[in-house]
Amino acid sequence: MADWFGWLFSADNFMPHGHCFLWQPATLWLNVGSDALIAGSYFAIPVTIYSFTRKKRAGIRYAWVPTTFAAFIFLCGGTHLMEIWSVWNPLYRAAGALKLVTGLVSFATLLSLLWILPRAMLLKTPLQLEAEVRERTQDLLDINEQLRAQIAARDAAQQRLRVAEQERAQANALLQTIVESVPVSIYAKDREGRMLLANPPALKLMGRSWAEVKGRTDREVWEDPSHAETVILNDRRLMEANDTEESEEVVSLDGGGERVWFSIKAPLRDANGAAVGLVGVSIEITERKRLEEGLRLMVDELNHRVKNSLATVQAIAMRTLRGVHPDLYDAFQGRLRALAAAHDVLTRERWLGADLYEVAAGQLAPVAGAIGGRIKLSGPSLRLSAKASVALAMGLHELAINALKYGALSNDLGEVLIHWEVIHSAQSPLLRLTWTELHGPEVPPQAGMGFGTQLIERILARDLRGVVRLDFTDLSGIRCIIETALAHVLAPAQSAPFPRLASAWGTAT
Amino acid sequence: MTLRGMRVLVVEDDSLICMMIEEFLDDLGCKVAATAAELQDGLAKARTTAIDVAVLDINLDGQLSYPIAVELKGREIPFLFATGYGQSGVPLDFKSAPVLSKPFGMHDLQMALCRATTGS
Repeated sequence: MADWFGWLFSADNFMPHGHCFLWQPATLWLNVGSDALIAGSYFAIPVTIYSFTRKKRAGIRYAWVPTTFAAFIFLCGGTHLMEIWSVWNPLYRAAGALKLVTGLVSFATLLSLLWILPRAMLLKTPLQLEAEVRERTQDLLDINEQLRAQIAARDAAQQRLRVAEQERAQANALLQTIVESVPVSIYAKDREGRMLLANPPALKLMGRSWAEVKGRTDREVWEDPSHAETVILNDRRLMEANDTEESEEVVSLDGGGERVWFSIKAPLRDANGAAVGLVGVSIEITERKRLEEGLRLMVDELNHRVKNSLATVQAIAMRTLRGVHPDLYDAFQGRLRALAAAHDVLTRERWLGADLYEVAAGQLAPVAGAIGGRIKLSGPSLRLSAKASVALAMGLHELAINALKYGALSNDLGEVLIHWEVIHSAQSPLLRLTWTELHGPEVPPQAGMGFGTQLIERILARDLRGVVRLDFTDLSGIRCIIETALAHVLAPAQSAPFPRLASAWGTAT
Repeated sequence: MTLRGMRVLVVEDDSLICMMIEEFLDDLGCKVAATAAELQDGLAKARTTAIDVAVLDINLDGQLSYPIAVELKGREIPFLFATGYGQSGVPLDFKSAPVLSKPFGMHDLQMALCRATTGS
């Protein structure tokens, strides 16, 4: 190896290259200068490439290519330096070796170029890149535009939401104001009876602040446990029934007396209609009840006065007629009492109507004692209007008096059958009432003439708006048939009174 | 049964009606022992007069005649009410006393007096 190096770096008997130039200074320095310039440049080029690749390494693909270039140029520089050296020192073997290395590296560089060329062809040119960038920029601009539109739409939606929110807040504030300022108790509870809402009048009624009742159940709100249980049971029943309920609620006061509330309770329903709680509204009607009671007392008093007046009229008639015309007096007194008896029945029913049976019994019992003996009543339960009741009472009185004088009640055997029925005809239903006398004596022809007959035939027919047939000719006894449209004589349907819940609120002590 | 000779106290504020009742009683053979038109007079007569039975109007010019009924009950003297109010206007304390609803006839008075004095 040492021999080989010795051989390589020995000049032997070669002549320095200067001899070729005949040591002519101009020729020699022209070559030496040119080689020096080439060598210097060749050494500078790789340094420049190196510094370039160092800075741009990250962005350059195939970074090893410039490195091979640098190496090849550097080695080329080395051969030119060797040219200068060999002008004076004939180390041609070493120079040859250096050229060999340079040649190899140059060849490798060529290979690398050949390898890289097709790939480099694929790299985009700046123009292509520019076009691509333009295209991408346009895409970005489009996307940007879309985003801007989306943002605008979102802003508009947000604005609408803000407006809606504001309106909702206003509506809520209005509701809140209404709930807080109406002079009516309003409260709401959830399914477990926890208080969801109670306005000031409701809180006043409970004697508590909102903080004390919020989310609490009736057990915690009311001092009286039995009252709380009453309220809870009532609420539960209402929620199970899932129906609105009206009631009057009475609270006894500590100092005596009572206050009355009219309450409406309704279930709170979810979207499926199931009861999830209840809402209640209560308004105090103590004053109204007091007036109603006053009115009731007044009506009672009026009824009483009317009866007293009838009694006074009776007394006057007695003083006027009794000694002179006892028969007239008796007839008058009977009719007056018939009127009073009808009045009694109607008073009991508050003049809203009267049961036909009671009207008939009221007339016949004073005449003939107990019903069911010689007088038999039969027919369905029917509520007559006040006007029809009075008319029928007067008619039945006349028939009874007539029977007492001439008919079936004038002997010991006769009977009176009073039967009524509803007949469903093609038009409106009819009421038919039949008065039948049995086992009476033969009726004298003059019987039943006069005011009694008139009253029966005309007044009855007129006030009941029906047809009356009186038959005195039947040998078996007097018969009277009254027929009228049921609708003319029935009492108007009345609304059922409110259920009255004792102490449903109560702080009874 | 007969009512003949029975001594009756009549308390009634309407003089026409009072006269009528007196006439009825007369016809029935009773003796009108005393009449009163107002509460205090009625109370006094209920205490002092010798009577067998009393006919009481309930409303005496705005005053109720119940104190007289209490007094009579104390003396174990039977009585009946004659009123425009009807049966419903009478307190439970006097439930056993017959109630005559005005206007009434002589026959009604006779029956009521019998019921009051015999309890049937």
